[in-house]
Amino acid sequence: MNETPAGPLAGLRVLDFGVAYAGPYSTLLLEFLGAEVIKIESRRRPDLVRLPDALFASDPTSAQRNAANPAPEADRLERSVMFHDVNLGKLSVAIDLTTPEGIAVAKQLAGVSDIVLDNFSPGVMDRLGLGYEVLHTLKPDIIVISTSAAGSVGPESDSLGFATIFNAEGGLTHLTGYPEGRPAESRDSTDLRVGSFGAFALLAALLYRQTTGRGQYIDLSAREVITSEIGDELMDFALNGRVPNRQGNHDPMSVPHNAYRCLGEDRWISIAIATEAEWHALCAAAGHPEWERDPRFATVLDRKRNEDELDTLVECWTREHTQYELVERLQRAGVAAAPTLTMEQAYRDPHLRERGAFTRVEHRVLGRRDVVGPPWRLSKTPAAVHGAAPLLGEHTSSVLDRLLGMDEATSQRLDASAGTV
Amino acid sequence: MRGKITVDTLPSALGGLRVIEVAQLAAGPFCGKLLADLGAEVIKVEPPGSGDVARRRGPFPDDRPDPDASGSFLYFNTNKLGVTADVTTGEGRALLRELLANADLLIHDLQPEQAAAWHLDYASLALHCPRLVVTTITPFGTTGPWADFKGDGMHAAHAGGEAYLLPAGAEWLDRPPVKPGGLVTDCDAGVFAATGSLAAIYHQRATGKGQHVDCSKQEAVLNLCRAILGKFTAYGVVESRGTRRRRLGNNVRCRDGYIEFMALNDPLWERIGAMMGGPAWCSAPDYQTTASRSRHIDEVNDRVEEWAAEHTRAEIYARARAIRAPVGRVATADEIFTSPHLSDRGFFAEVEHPATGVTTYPGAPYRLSETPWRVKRPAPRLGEHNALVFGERLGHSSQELVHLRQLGVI
Repeated sequence: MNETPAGPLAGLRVLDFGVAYAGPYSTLLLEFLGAEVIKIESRRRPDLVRLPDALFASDPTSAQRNAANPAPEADRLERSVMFHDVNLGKLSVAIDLTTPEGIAVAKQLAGVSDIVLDNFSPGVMDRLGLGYEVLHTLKPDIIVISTSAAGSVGPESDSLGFATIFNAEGGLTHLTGYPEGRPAESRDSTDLRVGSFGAFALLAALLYRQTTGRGQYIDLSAREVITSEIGDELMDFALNGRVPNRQGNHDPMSVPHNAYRCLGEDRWISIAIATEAEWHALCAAAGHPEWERDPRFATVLDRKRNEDELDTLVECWTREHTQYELVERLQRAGVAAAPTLTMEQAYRDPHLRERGAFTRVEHRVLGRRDVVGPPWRLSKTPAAVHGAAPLLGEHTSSVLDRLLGMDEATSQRLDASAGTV
Repeated sequence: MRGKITVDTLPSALGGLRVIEVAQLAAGPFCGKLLADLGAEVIKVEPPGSGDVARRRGPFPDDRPDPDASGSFLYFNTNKLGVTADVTTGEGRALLRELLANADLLIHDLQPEQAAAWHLDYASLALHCPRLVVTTITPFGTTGPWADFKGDGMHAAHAGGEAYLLPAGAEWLDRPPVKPGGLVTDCDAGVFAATGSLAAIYHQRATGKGQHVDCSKQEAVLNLCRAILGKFTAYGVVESRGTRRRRLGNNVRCRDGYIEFMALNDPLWERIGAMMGGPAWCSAPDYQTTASRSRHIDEVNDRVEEWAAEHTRAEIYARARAIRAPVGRVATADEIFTSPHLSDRGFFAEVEHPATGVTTYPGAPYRLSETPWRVKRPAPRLGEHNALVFGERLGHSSQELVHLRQLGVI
């Protein structure tokens, strides 16, 4: 991939103390944009996501899966797909942060970095002697971000950092699902939402540093990320004191606005009608001009009032057709429609394929992996997947030699002190 | 540019960044809001007459429609200047070009075919403004067979893979998959777009060169589903609402709503037991270990729910906090707005707007030590800054502006 032009953040260095999912995703986005990301890891206390069954932690079949596919002990921490796919292209340095020598090396690395990230519980970096006040003395223009469940200050700052919990506390769980059903949790996507906001805050701080030469400290709260992405429902409380409930796929302005069953097993299409022209186009494309003449659906208010009946009629039509056929037909008619994709369908989807949404990398233990690439296409300084995730400690010697001029014997001793498998 | 509007001595992260936004509803406007709230000057260009569709969306105070008081518009457009220009006309686009001559970044959400017809595609814009960064936010991106297909945040949730998992539970397989609540997938696209835009601006400031940042809402959501995709590519497992059963925790009904618990491991389960007053069943063989609990998760949920039914969210949360049990409230809007924690962190913004008076808005999720986030001005009324921007800054006379208004251009 050497012929790829450099990303816009080429030349920047990020020291990544991130664990699990949210923190590492912030630095993954910076890596896609060309920054050099150095993960600090330890075998003694590995990132839990490195454990082989992390991806299936909540799945009772994981034990059977692992029994059927036993990992060689030496590769125990190198077989996690979940770890791999959020740590692409990063470097891994193994040092033990419970020893003074390990902390000293971490400080030296921070001294030659532009950004330091952690998503430990609030206070951990301070207790390690790696808090912002310390790092700022070592490198006055350093940018430090700490991501935590509820932020690093405030009476609930000791909250535990589980995605299902901060999605609930943030208000999104209550608003997801059917009005008459239970609230619905989100998991992985919630962590990554938080990580994506972290990357944005870091970019803003970088621009400020580019102009003024000044660094700063960023305190990011996962719960507040979720709350700030809701919009209308919270403004209804702000303006009217109302407490809105979940509405499935329905929308206050557009009707119909739902997902409808198609031919095949558990196949669905989402359709939204925002204008009169689109309503006419839907009736025509469905071959049901009588819907337009039906007094129950005469105006948008009528359609909203009789939304459930309209949803039933639309589904009677969609269930006779396949997803992709309907999407093409409706879009050609000027109606917003999209398939509800499974991950298998997404992986094979011709549109995503043509846009190059997936990149193939080669990992020493996992072998060939196709991963989701960056969320943007930058025309001059492309964002890109630059390689597989590192093995734990893969770059200890090379990084410590290149950045700190450390001889190999010392770096190997450090690496060994970070534990063996 | 002439016509300085605010006098503010506090530094802002993005002070001096000049942004033009031609975008509606949530994804593009949230991108613009993120930048404006950190100090960028964002001039929002709306269609004259109707304005951004968010102005018709509500929620409205007392449900009385007023394009200047729509909650959706007010939230997604804080700190912006607002002008009107009909970019479907040559005169409107001439005004837009004048604005772009002095801008660093254009955010737009026009479909590629439309943008090309109006010479607002990147290739056309780069001819005149080579240093301009152009960020497009469209349902499926600007290339590929679906580039001109329409879609909103719901379509992004469904085509990006997240909806197929919601709501988790096999009992819902006869009902449609749903999007996550609120406008969250639009916001996802907006956050990614803002990040990509600033990376391109970082490069522009170093080199003087602009570029196109192409954001697809579908791929924004797909990006958040990378682990789910990993399960398929690595193990051939296709997750769905049916397989996506919670095994180690769930939300359970309590006296006044729901709580969420997460017993990831045995010590955390012990804390949940302690929170419930240490009932004997918690340590029965079926529930004692993570593996056995996950096999009996339905019974675990029922039993936790039986206990929770006797208590309120606030009581349960207080008990959980005292021993750091992994429990949260499934928070409703009132709980969020009255949270002492959020108030203590300065999360909320008091915003005064002529159409609504003083209102408390949700704020930003980050505290930046040097360049704090703040609301300096409310969302603009439709065309509020036409005279300032087109007149004072671009030098159009008031007669010209009257004429343009009569033509319906502004």
